[in-house]
Amino acid sequence: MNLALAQLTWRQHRAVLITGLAWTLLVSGCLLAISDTSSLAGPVETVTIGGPTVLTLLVGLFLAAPLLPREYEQGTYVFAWSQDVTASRWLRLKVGYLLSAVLLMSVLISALHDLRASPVSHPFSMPMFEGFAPVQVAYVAFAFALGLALGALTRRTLLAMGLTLVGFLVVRAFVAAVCRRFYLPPLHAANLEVMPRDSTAVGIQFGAGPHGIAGVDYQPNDRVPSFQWIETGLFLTLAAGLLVLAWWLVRRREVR
Amino acid sequence: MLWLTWRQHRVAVIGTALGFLALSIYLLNCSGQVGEVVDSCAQHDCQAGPGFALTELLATLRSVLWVIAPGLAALIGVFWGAPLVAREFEQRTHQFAWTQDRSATRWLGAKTAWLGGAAVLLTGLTGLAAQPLLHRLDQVDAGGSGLHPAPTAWAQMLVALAVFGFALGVAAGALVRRTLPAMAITAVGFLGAYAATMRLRLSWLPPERHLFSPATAAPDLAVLPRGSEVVETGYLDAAGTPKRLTEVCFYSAAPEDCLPQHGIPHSYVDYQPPDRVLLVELVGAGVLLVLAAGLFALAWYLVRRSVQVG
Repeated sequence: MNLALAQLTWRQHRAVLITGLAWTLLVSGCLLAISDTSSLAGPVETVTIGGPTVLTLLVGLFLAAPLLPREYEQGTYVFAWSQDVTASRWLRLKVGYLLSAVLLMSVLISALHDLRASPVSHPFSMPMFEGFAPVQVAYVAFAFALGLALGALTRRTLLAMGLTLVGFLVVRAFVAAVCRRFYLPPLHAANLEVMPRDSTAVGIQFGAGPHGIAGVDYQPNDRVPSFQWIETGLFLTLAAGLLVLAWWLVRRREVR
Repeated sequence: MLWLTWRQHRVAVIGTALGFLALSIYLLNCSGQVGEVVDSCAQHDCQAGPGFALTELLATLRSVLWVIAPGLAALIGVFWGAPLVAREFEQRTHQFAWTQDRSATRWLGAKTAWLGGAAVLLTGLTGLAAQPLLHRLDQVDAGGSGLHPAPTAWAQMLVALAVFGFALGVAAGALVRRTLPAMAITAVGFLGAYAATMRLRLSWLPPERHLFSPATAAPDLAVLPRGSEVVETGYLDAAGTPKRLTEVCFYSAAPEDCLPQHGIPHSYVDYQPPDRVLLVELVGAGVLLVLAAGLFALAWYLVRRSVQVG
């Protein structure tokens, strides 16, 4: 703990941190206020999907992406990193404070989200799959690390923000649409009638057979929890890699 | 001035243009796919019509037309509009930019004209690229099946949204004079305006109502005049009070039996008839443009005042 740096971090980022906290409290309040989720399926779904997503984008775009470019653009890195803390230590401590703050917000918002998520939806996609608290926390960590790394790479605020937005959405969409269904090898059935009831088809082979279907690949729905943990692990690994990249980029340019 | 505008904003302009280019290519490609299905359904008898064969594509198109395209328009406001004035204040370059051979208001006028023109051009071209698809979807929607995933005036709405977002960004930047807060305000404001537009765009003029008795959970929209736009569907109890399906029979496997048991004799569909749809939607887009003009005027006033004071 470095008190001076903690104070500086707070002063530089309080606008975003207060906005994030206010948003977290607002969404949590809404979720707590709704007692009967079945009668309000539409609004609940809007809040449960929109709440964590807005927090994630706020963290990636407005907290992490400008973090390093601001120092470079304003020339303040010369002062920040040549005094009693080195650049890499400055970055480590700052990332530590900010990341723990936003992860706490994310835990709060998504834990309530878990309790309130509506049961009527597709088990392998929004909002059921992604509403799971650890998955949401991993998304926030990933968005933060992506913003930080792109900021270290481009050293320009607006460019880093734009790239973070595009990068985050593309990776999320790609994982959800292409990778997720193959986390574990799918099981195979001859056609849709033979497929067990509590399962989700992930691929259909057309050919000779009833209704022109030669075979169905499916994932049993009881695999959802393990898939959610796999996705959590995947995004946490990506986040760790990006944090190391940012740290390495900053250290390389350290003012010695 | 064009050169300066291009130098300062080229990364944002190129990035957004690439997004709109990708969207246009996708929409043209979809038009081909929809066309194939419509044509083959005209030759061979499709079991449940082309709309059924295209269920998955129509769901994707709905999110592309309603979420991704307006999202790109929002980027124009956030990344072109918000930094336009704010960045000059933040980097103190407004003192140079506005005291040379050009007055501050002429500087602002030229920049907003070039960038606003580029925004209209980009969204307009995307709207043109969407026309074949929208025309094809009209054919899929034969008989007002309610499958049409886009409003009639989709292209005009997209252009109006982009202009509105850009004006909002410029005004927010002139007001708070700091880039990041201006960007955040623009994003939130755009989202609010878009949500309000979507909610009010069809219902500001009282819609017509078609009653179904007995109540049905799956209203046959083919009874509406072809080309109508559905505003809302709902249920009425015996006293005529509107009810939602989720309040009474949401989890019921057979809502047709459940509804009369709960005293719901009627269901309704509110719709705008075809001869009104285009007018109603164009007025919605027009309101956005009027708001945009107001925001441009606000930005102009703020910049002029800042020069006079200091």
